[in-house]
Amino acid sequence: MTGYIFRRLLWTIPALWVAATLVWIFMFLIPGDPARVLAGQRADAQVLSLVRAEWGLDQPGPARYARFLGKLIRFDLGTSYAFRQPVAELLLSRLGATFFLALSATLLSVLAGLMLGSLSAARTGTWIDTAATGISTAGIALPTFWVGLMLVLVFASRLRWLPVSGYGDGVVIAGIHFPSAANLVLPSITLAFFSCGFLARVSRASLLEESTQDYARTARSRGVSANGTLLRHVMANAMLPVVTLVGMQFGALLGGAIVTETVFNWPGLGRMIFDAINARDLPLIEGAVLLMTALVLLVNLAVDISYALLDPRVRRG
Amino acid sequence: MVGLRRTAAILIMALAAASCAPQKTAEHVLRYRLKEMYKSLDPMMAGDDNSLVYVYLLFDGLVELVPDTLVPRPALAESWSISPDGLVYTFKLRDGIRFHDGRAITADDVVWSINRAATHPKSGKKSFFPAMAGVTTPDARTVVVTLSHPYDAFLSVLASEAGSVVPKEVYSLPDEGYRTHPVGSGPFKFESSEPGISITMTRFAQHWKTPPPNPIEKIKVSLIESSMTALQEYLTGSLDFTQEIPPGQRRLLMKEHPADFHHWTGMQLFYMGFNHASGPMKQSVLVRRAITHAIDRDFIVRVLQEEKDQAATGVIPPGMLGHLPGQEAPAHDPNMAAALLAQAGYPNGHGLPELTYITNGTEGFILIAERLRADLAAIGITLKIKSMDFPTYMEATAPSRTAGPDADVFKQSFYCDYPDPDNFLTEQFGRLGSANSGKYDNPEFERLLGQARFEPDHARRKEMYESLDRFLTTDAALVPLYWYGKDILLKPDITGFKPSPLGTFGIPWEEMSLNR
Repeated sequence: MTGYIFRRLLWTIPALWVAATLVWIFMFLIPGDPARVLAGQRADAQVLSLVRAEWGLDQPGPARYARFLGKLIRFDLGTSYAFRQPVAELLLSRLGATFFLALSATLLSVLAGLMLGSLSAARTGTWIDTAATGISTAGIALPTFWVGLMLVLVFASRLRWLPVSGYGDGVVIAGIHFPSAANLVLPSITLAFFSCGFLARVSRASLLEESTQDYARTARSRGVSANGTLLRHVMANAMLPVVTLVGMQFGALLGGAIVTETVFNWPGLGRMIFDAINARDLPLIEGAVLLMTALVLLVNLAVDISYALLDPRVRRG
Repeated sequence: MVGLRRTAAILIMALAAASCAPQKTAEHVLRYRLKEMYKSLDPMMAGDDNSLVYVYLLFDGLVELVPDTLVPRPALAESWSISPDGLVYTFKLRDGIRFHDGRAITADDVVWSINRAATHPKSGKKSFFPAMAGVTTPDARTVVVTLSHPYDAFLSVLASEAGSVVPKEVYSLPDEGYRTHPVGSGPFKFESSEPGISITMTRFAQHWKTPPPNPIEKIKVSLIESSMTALQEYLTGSLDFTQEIPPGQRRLLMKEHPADFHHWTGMQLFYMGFNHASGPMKQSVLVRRAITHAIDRDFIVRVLQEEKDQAATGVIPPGMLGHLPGQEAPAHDPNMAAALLAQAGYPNGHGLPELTYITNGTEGFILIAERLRADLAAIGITLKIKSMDFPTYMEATAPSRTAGPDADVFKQSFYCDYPDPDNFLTEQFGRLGSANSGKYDNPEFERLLGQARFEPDHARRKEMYESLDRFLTTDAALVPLYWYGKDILLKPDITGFKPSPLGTFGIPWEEMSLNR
């Protein structure tokens, strides 16, 4: 197992290099001159050339790429054009906010998705199944920004139960700034809504499939109730595809965080990426995408490891 | 396992307690919303609306403008005199004026700062000083500025960000730390910044202005990208000031929050620009005129802009020298437009290639683009709309492009740097104008512009700019659509508000009271 984890970790290095290179190429090719964004549209040629020289934007593409890679090897993500601060510092300052949001959204989507999926599977063909399917379809279909705005209008503006946006004062424990729980609710629901729909659909299908297997029928024939069979026998086996999906959805969740954090003014990586793209802040975009790629790779590694814990057959190879 | 559960329970309780704790109500703190991060806090580089909000609060110049009338009045200078030929300005500095770091301001600081803005290679304000000949300091409290030509707008230039006085020892540091930690002498001083999240400024107790009763002690600027989120924050009491009302909300807010809602017209123009450097727009004034008559600007203002803005009847905005109050815009007359198009050799648009229009992708601008397309389709012109994000749009319309913008027609807007028609017309339509994206280049216009710039007689200068405005309309150099209206929401317990035609950055927060 240790060897497997080590090999997988080694594979993250080329994966990160590919991600970094792709992002670098896209940012190099897209229109929108970072120097002009920094200096303003009306900047004269002299100001523009000074800004280009200051950030090395006057160098040819291959030289810039080589410099970028050289720094990356030394774990130097460079300095943000817009904030004039080291990218690593900026990313670290925003990582916590995104982590708490992603964590709570993941927990929420897993809990709600499994609950909806289980209800659907246990009551196939009934109104409960129809309602749960409807909710999960809505989760997949409704755009994140719309869901977020509706939640704000109802629960923050109309009912005044929760704050509209922001991180809140929260508490600081061991130097970590936790968000206020009240501020976390709406963005978490918004972000979880999409994943929850997928998880509900997959868990329903998986549970239904497993419940037709021989071991489930045997349990039922031995007098175990339908609910008991579902919870004690079928559920564990049905979890493998669900866990895979949780890992895959983590990437989508980080992508969704860009919209959610913008709507809720959440001071996380997603909003920072949004601002960085608008400012053509290349080092910050590259750093943030690298960090997100690393997170997705690590989460998927954790998912693969969790297979072994969930399923003894995997452990035995 | 028990330990883990206990830790988790404590953590959850702590989070719950924190979330349930009553929110501290900060007294005399103005909670201000801006959409984006500043581009620069250095006054010689700051040019966008966001950056100027900070620059106007953090820096002072020799003079400032009365917010609503834009008449120059003393600031760091307690008085000034102008020589009869309009070439020499002598300023006397106030006693006891200081920078935020406590150092006394001297005449040398003023000279260094003006020279920096006028000549520094990185300065974006060099064009603000078209007639500067020299700056001297006969003594520690006197500054003498000599001009090569009389320039009516010179005091307005000094009142703009270009006239900001900065401490030399800070602003010559090679690490340029002042870009993120500015030191000025304005009514508020920089306190802290969370990059991309918020910026806090506190009242500068040693500022030369006498504070009003219950002054604003602190301004906390929150950067909120979504205008709908910002509006909801305002309505639920978490913000004291917001602008950029989301589409569709204006009339409702005016009705439901009349005490909070403020509106005025600014010195900014929104228009459809033509590519005068290449393509069909360069070749035919008749086609340009046809387009000006095809566009229904009243519909755009009345319906799309919810009557926020004022339909533009010319170029120079209301309140600025040279504005023509009685002038009528080219009428919306599709028949006349079709006739002009036929006269140009394109009956019903036949033979005229498809025109490309570029705009940045803000929702309101897209709606306007669609309306322009419909208006032009009515006379047989096909308009292809290219919507792009702002950095791409900036590059596509960069005034430095020799072939003009990457389109035949384009969305454009211009905010005056200082309230003078020289700035307004030269920058947009002058041959070397820094905002001349359409590459308008008319020798006769250029000649008249040069004459008006340094005309010493105020009344004569006014007439000259009125003629220049008519010149642009006759030559169909652009399709003026509207002069921007400003809508803001401000809590009624904040009093002393004065609108500034320059923009929201011109609001004098240091003169306002927060009665809370």
